[in-house]
Amino acid sequence: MQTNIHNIEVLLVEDSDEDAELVIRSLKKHNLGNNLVHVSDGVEALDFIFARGEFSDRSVGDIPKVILMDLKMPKMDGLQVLKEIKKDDRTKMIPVIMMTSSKEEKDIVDSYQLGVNSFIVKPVGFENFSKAVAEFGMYWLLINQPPKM
Amino acid sequence: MRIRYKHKLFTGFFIILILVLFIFYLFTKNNSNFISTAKSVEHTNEILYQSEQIISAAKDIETGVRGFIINGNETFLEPFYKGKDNVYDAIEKLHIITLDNPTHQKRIDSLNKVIHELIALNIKQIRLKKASPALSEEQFVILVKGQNLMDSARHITIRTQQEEAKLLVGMYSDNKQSLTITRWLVYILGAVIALLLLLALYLLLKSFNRREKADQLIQELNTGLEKQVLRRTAELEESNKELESFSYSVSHDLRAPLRAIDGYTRALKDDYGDKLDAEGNRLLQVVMKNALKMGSLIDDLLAFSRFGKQSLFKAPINMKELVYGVINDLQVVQPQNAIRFTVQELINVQADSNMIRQVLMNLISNAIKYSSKTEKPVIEIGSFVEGPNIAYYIKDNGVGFDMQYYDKLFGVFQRLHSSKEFEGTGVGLATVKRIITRHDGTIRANSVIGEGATFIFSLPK
Repeated sequence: MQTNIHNIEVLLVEDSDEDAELVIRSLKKHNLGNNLVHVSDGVEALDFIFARGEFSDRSVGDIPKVILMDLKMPKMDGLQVLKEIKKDDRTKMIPVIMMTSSKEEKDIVDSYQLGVNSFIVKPVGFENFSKAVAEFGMYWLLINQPPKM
Repeated sequence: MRIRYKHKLFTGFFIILILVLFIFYLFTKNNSNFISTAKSVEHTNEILYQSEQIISAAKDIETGVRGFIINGNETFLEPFYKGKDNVYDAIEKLHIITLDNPTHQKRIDSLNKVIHELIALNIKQIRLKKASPALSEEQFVILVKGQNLMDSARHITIRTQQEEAKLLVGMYSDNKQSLTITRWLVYILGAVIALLLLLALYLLLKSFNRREKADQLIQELNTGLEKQVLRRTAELEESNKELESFSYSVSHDLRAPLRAIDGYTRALKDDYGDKLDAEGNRLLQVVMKNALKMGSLIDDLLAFSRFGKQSLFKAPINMKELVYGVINDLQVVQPQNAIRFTVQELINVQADSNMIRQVLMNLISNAIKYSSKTEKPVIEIGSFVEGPNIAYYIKDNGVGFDMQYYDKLFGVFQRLHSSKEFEGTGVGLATVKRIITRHDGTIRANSVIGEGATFIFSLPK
């Protein structure tokens, strides 16, 4: 999947390979996310965004169009990653869509307080999930006009 | 124990009281004895005095007459006349003061006779002297006789005096004896009272100590209880926290595999559906349907447990706004164009709006679900005041339920319709009841099969 780590459209941060596969499948189905990178946890996500470690040959300015991120992940959870992204002037413009399995009110409130752009509760039904992912993908990738950096 | 102790104390005090009263009585009696003794002494003195008077008057009579006889001078007769008056006076007085003593009376009678005789003799003597100045033999006899009478008068008087003195002495010794007895009685009783008082003091102190000990014990127990309550509360809080993280994990971790089951089945169907026959496709459909069902079961159970442990945030609720909001949300999920909603006047109430929203959501979605097979479904929502509560009702004209199974209506996992007829997890009404109960409210329902159902919940004003 990580054939090209430059000029990518979607950064998918998801610890569950199955969920990741389903997300990618949904996007593909709607012809979205052709250039997508999938990382499995928060640390890797930050490495990618800030061009560190494994991704040190990237440039921080080369930002993805949108970040799709699971909230609950091992090592470093989505909220912490979100905090880091929104703290840095170079990356705070990147739209972040938070995905979670639970409808915990606290998670939603915390995410919005940290400046999340959208919040999706992953439904059990794949159909609804797929629809939700596609809708958000459509919006952030095609309709939304990001500011010129 | 307590009663026996009270009884003892009461008896002790009663005995002390009786003893004190008895001592008081003894003192009073002693005092009256003393007074009567004093009176007796006075009385005796009076008797002695009057007796002396009689003797002295008798002497005057004798001496006077004797003097006259010797020298014939009538001035010597003066003591005679005086003594005559005095002696009768004294005898009269003695008679009066010895009325209580018959022996004395008898003696006074004979004394009286002796004195009379003496005076009569002396008068005769005076007459004889006046007749012839020389001392005749008769006169001499009279003198001797007078002497004898005088002696017997003195003798009688002395006897009276002696007897009186004896009486007085007897009375003295009687009184002295009773005084001694009384004194000893007072000593003994005083000692007994002192002992009883000491005993009472001991009992009181003992009881006081016991109470103090009991108080201390109660205090210790209370402190222990408080500590225990604190510990239990901490434990409860801990287990509550555990439960919370458990339900979080459940909601998160149980849903992920279900999502994979449903997602991958759908992918299989999408990619390879055309290679499977109709039965193969139906089987895939069953897998997906059940994954979805389990998903909603988890959601409902989580809601049920969450509303059981969440704390209430009571605030004024605009019920009309809330009801319309719920209806709109339900319409968005699945447009219900066929259903006519009639919302009557709704009274506002103080409650946890998040929870009441869930109640309305469950009841209205139930109404929608169970009237989905009705030709012209009407759902009516309204409210009324019911004593100290405000009651809200949600009425539909759907399939209704059998009142025979009413007691199962609000139980967890209890359903009155099969999943084939109407989808459902059997948790919705249990959640509703839990929320209403936590608001100190009540919920009830009634229904006629085929004509619809009415759910009424009431909340305190």
